[in-house]
Amino acid sequence: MPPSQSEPGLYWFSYFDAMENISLSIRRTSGNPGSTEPYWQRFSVPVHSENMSVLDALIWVQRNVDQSLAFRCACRVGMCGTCGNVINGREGLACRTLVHNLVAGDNSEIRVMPMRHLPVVRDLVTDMTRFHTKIGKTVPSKPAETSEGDIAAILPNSRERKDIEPQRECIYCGLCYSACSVVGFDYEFLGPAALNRAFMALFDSRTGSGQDDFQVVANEHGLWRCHTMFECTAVCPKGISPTLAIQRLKRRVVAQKLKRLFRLGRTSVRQA
Amino acid sequence: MVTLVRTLLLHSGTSRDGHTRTRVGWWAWLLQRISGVLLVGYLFLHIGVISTSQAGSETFDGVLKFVQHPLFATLDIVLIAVILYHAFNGIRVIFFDMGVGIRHQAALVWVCAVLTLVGTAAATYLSLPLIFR
Amino acid sequence: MALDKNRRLQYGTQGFWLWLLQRFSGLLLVLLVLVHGWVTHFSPIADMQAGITDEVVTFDVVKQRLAQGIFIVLDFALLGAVLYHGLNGVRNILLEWKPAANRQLIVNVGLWTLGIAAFAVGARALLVFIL
Repeated sequence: MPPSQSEPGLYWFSYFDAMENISLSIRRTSGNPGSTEPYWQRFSVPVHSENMSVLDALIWVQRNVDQSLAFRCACRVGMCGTCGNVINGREGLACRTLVHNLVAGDNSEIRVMPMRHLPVVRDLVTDMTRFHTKIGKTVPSKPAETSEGDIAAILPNSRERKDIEPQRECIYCGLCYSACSVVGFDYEFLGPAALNRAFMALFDSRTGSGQDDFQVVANEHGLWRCHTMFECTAVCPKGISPTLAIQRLKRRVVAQKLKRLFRLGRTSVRQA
Repeated sequence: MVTLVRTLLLHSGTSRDGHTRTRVGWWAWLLQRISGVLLVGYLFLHIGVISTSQAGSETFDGVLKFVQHPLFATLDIVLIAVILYHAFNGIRVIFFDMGVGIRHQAALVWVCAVLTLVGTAAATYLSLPLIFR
Repeated sequence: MALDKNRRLQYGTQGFWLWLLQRFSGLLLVLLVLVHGWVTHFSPIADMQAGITDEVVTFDVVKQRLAQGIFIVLDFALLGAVLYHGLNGVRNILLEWKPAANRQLIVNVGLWTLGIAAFAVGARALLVFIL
């Protein structure tokens, strides 16, 4: 029977005694204007169970050692996408990254830093405005024109549904944006999440057909900038491949432009 | 430039952050770029060499004799390896553009590597008469 | 969020055609380079081994090859395709980090000039064998 030791400020210990301590190094920035130099700070964190996640470790530090440690979290079960960080060099959700998976063999160090390509507010908290702005850019401008009483029906077995459904798992955690090297190269690049969002919207038959909608993504800061490096696919916590969505968008745009060039088919880019 | 250097270090495993994610796709892209630049360099060299034809057939023959020296024949094999990698990886990317094999992208990089090695071996075999004569 | 005219000019659609041609020229080059490599490099080695010629490639060998119409077409196609594909690749690299409109202009003009000049040099070299 696990003893309950819930003294205020003390993290819950399971009935295994702390089996080991791991070394948690966090890349911190004070966030005060004038002193924005980042630095690593190391904490020794007791591991209390097999299921301990990096988020658990961060919370432990905040409660027991340094209350000024700043990080984001919410649901702690991998649903909300809030706790994205770079952990031991790889993008991941802190709540879904288990300590015992990281500390193997000789390595007992966990290094946590904030997501890349975004300005750091403080410690592990980044300013995700730019990420969200780019997502917003890919939302289509015109809704579908339907008469009253129409209910759009996208059946579960339809091709459309099967194509879009896997990509809809996106929780906008920003890990793909952080992992993508092209985002690092090109400040204006829309990024994997935004392009995945565009795919979801533009391939949905319920969306209206604005000519400019594809233009938002079919440019040198959008589709043609993706070099199929697959870094996004490698880190997505939901198993989405934004590259897949991007390739499908590319194909749709190519088909439309070629058709227009040879005067075949419709001039609208909506239907392929 | 700084970004490129930083990204290179990040992917090389030399930084203390280590790298535990599959970066094969990134390396494939980088090698594609590097091989492309090398090939453009070779292209201009090649155009230069062939344009000595304008100086007459004797000059041209002299130049050709020089560049068919066994040393150059060996360098040609390196060239062929670079061309083969660039071509196979390019075909891999075009497969992705057509929607084929995206979920197996990392394995396809290894396929390209193997095909490049096999092709280079074949080219070496065929070039032996030129190297050893 | 429709793009206004200025943004459309800045983002433009020329990127698409360049990208598409890069793919097509790449595919074409796989074939052309294979044929070219075989015909100019490996086939003459086989000839040399069989005792047909003592030096592998000479002026006359090239002249004989280019007497056939198909090789004229292939060589010119190869020259054009490879210059396009290569210089477009260089363009991508140069514009990777700062694709600002004015830089694009300089890079585009510079590379097109280089490409056309290189094509001219290559064409003149080929014509020596043909004429």
